[in-house]
Amino acid sequence: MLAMVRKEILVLLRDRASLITLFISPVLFMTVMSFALGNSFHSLGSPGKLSISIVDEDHSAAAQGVVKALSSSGELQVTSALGGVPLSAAQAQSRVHSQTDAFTVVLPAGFQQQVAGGGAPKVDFVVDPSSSRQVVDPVESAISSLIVTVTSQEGTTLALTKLGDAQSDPGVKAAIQAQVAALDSTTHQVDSTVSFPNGEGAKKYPSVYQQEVPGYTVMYVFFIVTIMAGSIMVERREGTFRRLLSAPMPRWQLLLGKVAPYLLVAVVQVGILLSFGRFVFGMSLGAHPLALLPISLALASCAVALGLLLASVARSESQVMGMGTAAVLVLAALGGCMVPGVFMPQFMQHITHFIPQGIALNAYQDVLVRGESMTAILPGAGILLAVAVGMFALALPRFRFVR
Amino acid sequence: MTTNLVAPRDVETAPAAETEIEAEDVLTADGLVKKFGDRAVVDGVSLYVGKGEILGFLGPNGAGKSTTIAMLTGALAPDAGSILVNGVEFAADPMRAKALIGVVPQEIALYPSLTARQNLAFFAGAYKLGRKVREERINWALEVAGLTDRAGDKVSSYSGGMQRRVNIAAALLHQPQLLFLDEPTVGVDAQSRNQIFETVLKLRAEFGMSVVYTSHYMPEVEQLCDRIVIVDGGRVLAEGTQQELLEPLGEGLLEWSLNAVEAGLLKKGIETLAVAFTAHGETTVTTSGDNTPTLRVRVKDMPATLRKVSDLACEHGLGLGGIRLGRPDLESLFLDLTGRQIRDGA
Ligand SMILES: Nc1ncnc2c1ncn2[C@@H]1O[C@H](COP(=O)(O)OP(=O)(O)O)[C@@H](O)[C@H]1O
Ligand SMILES: [Mg+2]
Repeated sequence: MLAMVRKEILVLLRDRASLITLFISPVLFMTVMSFALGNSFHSLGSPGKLSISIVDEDHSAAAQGVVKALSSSGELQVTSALGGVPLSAAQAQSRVHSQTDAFTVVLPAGFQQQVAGGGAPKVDFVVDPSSSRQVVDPVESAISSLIVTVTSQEGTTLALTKLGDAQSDPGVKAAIQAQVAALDSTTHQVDSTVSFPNGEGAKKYPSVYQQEVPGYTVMYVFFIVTIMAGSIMVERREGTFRRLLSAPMPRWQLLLGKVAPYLLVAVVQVGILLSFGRFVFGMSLGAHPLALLPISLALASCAVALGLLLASVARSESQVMGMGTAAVLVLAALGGCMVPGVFMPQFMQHITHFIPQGIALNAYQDVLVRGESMTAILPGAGILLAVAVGMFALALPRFRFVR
Repeated sequence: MTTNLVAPRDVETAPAAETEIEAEDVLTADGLVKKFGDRAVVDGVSLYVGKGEILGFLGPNGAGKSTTIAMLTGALAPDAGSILVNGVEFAADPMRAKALIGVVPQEIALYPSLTARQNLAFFAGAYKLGRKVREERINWALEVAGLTDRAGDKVSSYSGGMQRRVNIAAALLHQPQLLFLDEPTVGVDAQSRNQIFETVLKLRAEFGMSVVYTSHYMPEVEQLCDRIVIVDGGRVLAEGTQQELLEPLGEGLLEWSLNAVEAGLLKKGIETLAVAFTAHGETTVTTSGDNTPTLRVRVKDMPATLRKVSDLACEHGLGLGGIRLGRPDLESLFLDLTGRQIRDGA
């Protein structure tokens, strides 16, 4: 048994392509994506600030509150006036057109009135079509939530109160006070869907690696599927299984000797990738890092079980590569490893909860981002383990050592 | 020793002495069947291997040889039939049966990225050998393969012949009583082939090892094997020593190929010659070919037949350039049994 694990690891260590797939590729991916999104390696230079402009067509206190809040967020390069003159919509448009700004936020006339009326304030975004959705979307949704936050809390509350005081009409005053209360509840909603923690919001705003490290970790763990299934196909083709079957060793031992090393490799892979996030990106491991262990074990089991299932149903090595790669990529996408679930349409978000990758990613983020403890992630880990057991049960009766 | 020979449930029915006599056959397989889908790839194969015997298992590609070996070595479960290894029923106690056999698969069943020594160490690990014995056996097997010098090199860096030799060495580590060699000389140069032959003979001489030697290459089976089983289409066509198998073929084989001119001289084509030989008393006469029509005659009485040939040549004005005479061999036997050349494949 131990000899089998040793052999498998030796063979894998000499298989450069697989090593690159499992370890180098995800590390490169994480690094490149983090650079691209300009949110890590602060020490290597000033963080790439996204340039935006904001146009106030309402000329109201509420709109000015938003402008001020955006300008002071520190993470954005905000232009609201040129030479002391407020930016016009046309100017802002041309700035976006010339790619000076990634996009512009237009607060149209009637903004304050809508806020005061308790409705959803209308805000227009003018976006440079070439700018990446992955960059613009999170900022856009962040700004939206910021707008709601600003118009509802602190400064805005003050502004509205002041506005109400100035009116001195008891009817309007009451309406404004009702509005303050209404907006408070709206804030919670916005915060929870975009997961943009309140106080720390501005500081944590570039949580790129908190999405990316677990996302790509989960995605890349599943590449063990093609590597493991491929190795089984090779042993089938090359007759090494045939030789081992002629030895006085029960089949289950042989199978275990083939599966266990990949489980080990997958767990080690998770460890390396999360450590990379921790020590290179300074990603926080949350308040309960030990809780990462059961998730990782369950995730690795899932990947290995899928590998065995693939090896049991595929008829050729090219099928393994084709089906395996397709499954890994599609499942990663559905699981929200590539594009965060928040940016997916509703039905896709539902699907995510049924995809092992989505369950794992969610559990990881529970620990990494939301600071949850062991008890919070155990159900997720349990589901993953159950999925793994289910796939093993599907695979075993179909598994063949010889062609 | 005797305790090893008796399968537990045979004890009551068979007295020990009798079992021992039966058990002189290291392997007995009876009525083996393996189906893939509806197709019986092995269709009732029975064979036995005596102690220290080298059995040739001969048949064209696709005859079902490897599938039979897979069943005999526990890689595939037979759909029907029984297998006894040294008196142990395979299905009843596979671990005990497996401890007695070694298999050299048709493929190079090694890990190419590992060294020869690493490969041997790994496969030795599948048998319960003490650490010291294991080291000794690995060194011995490397010596047998003539690869002691290059034991630390990756198998992928070896020539085809060297890989074949490691492939064999990996089956010897537990010194099995019965060794299966599935086409062990495919893609091997003459020198390595001879080395492999010598190894097989030496193993028999030193350990009394019995061998099942699979091949679709007749001459090597003729050279090496004590007894031969010929299979085709999953069935045994013939079985016996080389002498037993070739005896019915008579003294030899005469093959007469005609060129276009010669064929034109015959009024009714080559059939004319076939009729003449049949009338002359030869029993098996086959004809084939359109471009260079060929006549094959199994010859009982060589001098008489040669006289007949020269008579016919004179009579029809044919040349003798297309005539070949041969001693009967397994190739001609297979042709005789199936009407096909063994190398034609399935
Ligand atoms: N797993 C399998 N499924 C279907 N057909 C098979 C399988 N294995 C072997 N065969 C077929 O069975 C026949 C015999 O194969 P094999 O035993 O390898 O022949 P040989 O070793 O004599 O060349 C071949 O036609 C082969 O294609
Ligand atoms: Mg074969």
